[in-house]
Amino acid sequence: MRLYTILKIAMKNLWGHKSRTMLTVSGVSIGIASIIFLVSLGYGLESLVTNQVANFNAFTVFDVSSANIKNISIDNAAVSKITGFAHVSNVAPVTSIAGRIKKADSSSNSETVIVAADASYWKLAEVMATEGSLPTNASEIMVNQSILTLMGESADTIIGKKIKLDIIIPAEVRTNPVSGLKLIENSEFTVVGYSDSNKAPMVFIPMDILRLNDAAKYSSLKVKAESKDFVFLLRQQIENMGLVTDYVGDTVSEIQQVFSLFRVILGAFGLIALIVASIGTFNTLTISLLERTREIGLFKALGMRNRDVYKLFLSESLIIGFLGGILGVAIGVLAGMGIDALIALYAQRSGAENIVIFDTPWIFAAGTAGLSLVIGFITGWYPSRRAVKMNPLDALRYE
Amino acid sequence: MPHEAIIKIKNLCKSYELGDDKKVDILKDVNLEIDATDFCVIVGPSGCGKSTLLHHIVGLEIPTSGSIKVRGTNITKLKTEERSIFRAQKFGMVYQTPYWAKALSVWENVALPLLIDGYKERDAKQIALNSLREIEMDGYADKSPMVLSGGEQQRIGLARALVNNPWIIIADEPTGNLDTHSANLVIETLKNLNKKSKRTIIMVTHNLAYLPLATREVTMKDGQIVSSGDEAVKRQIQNELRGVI
Repeated sequence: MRLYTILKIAMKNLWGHKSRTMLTVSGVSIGIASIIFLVSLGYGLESLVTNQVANFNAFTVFDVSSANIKNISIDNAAVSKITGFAHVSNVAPVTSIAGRIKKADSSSNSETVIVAADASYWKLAEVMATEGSLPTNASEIMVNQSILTLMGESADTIIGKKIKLDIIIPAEVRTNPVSGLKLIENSEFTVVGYSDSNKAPMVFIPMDILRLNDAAKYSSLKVKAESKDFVFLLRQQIENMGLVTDYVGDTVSEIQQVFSLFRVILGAFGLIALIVASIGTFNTLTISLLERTREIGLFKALGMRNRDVYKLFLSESLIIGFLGGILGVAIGVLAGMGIDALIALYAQRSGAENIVIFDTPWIFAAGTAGLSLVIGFITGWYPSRRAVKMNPLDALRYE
Repeated sequence: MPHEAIIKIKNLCKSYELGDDKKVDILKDVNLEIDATDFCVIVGPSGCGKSTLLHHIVGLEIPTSGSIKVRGTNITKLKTEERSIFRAQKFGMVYQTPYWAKALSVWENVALPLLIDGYKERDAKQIALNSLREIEMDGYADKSPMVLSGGEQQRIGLARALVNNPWIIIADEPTGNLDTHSANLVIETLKNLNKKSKRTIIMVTHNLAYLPLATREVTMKDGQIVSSGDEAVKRQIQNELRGVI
């Protein structure tokens, strides 16, 4: 018997019981949609968190710091050595120290963190000026939102203003630590930029200010590899120098591990729905088999071969699985898109940043649709085997 | 013109084990030859083995012993799948109650033996429509068989039995559930198939009124064929059957 004929008869049988077929397909599609919806939520949240932690470029950059904070060992020699390693595309040092900030015409001051670095560091660390620019020479600085709040200034008024800094250079970052701590008091600078970061109060200054004051040891470095593939090797080389590395990829891996587990848990909930639907499908197919016992007897009496009887019944369950899979994936994806659209609408109305919390990788969608076919096969296998084993005469006499 | 035996049944026995070493013999040493031109009518009381004999002839049942040759092919030696193919190609069957694939239309049901045999749908449809035309039922082609009367269904069943141009048409009580008019139409069709289309007909019936149609008359009792010379037993069975009817 031709496969086309078998499929057509299977379709007609299903179409002949429209309500039953639609309910069975709905059951499977709800199961599949549950898996798609819940696991897509898992994927979406993972992407959301991962993107918050690191963007694509961050995977080629890692931080290097000294093993012992009291004994900083990253100096220009270390920087030169690391720069000399193969596949290093950039090395940028940074030093964070304590300081005090006050307006040029005021005597009251506020504690602040002073971050000293070169332009290459700002780029690697993605430090940007929300307004104005980053400091480029030893008389310029940039401040963040928290400083503005402390000083009672606004973004419009701060740029171009003169402020005074007390810079406390600890012994550890000085070329010769024995010479002890150095305090630079009341140095006057021009604010050339502002960043909307509102973490701790921070002042961004060019590294040259420290270099000019005999401080050529660095709190940490950002090292950029030519590609993600070289990060592992470079980290090993640098750790062999007695330094410590910190890579955003490690955090992302941990996040991914947590979310893998989260997805499995979500998927398991969806799977429960699918199992219930599968039992329903199995039940429907078995009832359909019993109802059509005489029909099977007829097919066999007319000479239908066992393998064609098997194919006919299996086709029906596979069609149910196929339709349920396609519909389920569509429902699951559309439900996720609907919720994302609602979030976008809410974000637009409230002026908040839009987030996307559903992500359905196509391979996962295809895999789940495939799972639906497998369910179709499993639920159809037993009724098909029963149909094959039926004696045609007993089947014809079945009441 | 020499007689050509299309079916040769030799020493056919069928028995069922009932457990506790009990055995029921359904067919006992049946020997029968049916010619290609025969309209063979098999009569006998209920449970005498008529239908079982038919089922053996079409290969739906396997004998305990003996052989059935159809144009030289011993169908008892064929494998299940081979018997299915042989049945699909060489036999047309009409039952007392017509069986249908309910989701399919009249022409699709008629075309089933061809579709099962691997015909393309377009070709099978054409042949099925011709077959329906032959019994003047082509106007019902697209209807569901389930909405037709018993007589109409039986005639459609006949069209299905003819569609694969079989050597032999097997009819198991084809008029059992029909009113006289419908039954006459069915019998008329079978007669024409035998006379005009030269098909072998093997019909099982309770109705002795059809005996005059027979070119070969077979009377069965207790799983055996009553020998042609045993007129007393034949008359007794026929009287019993008349009493039933």
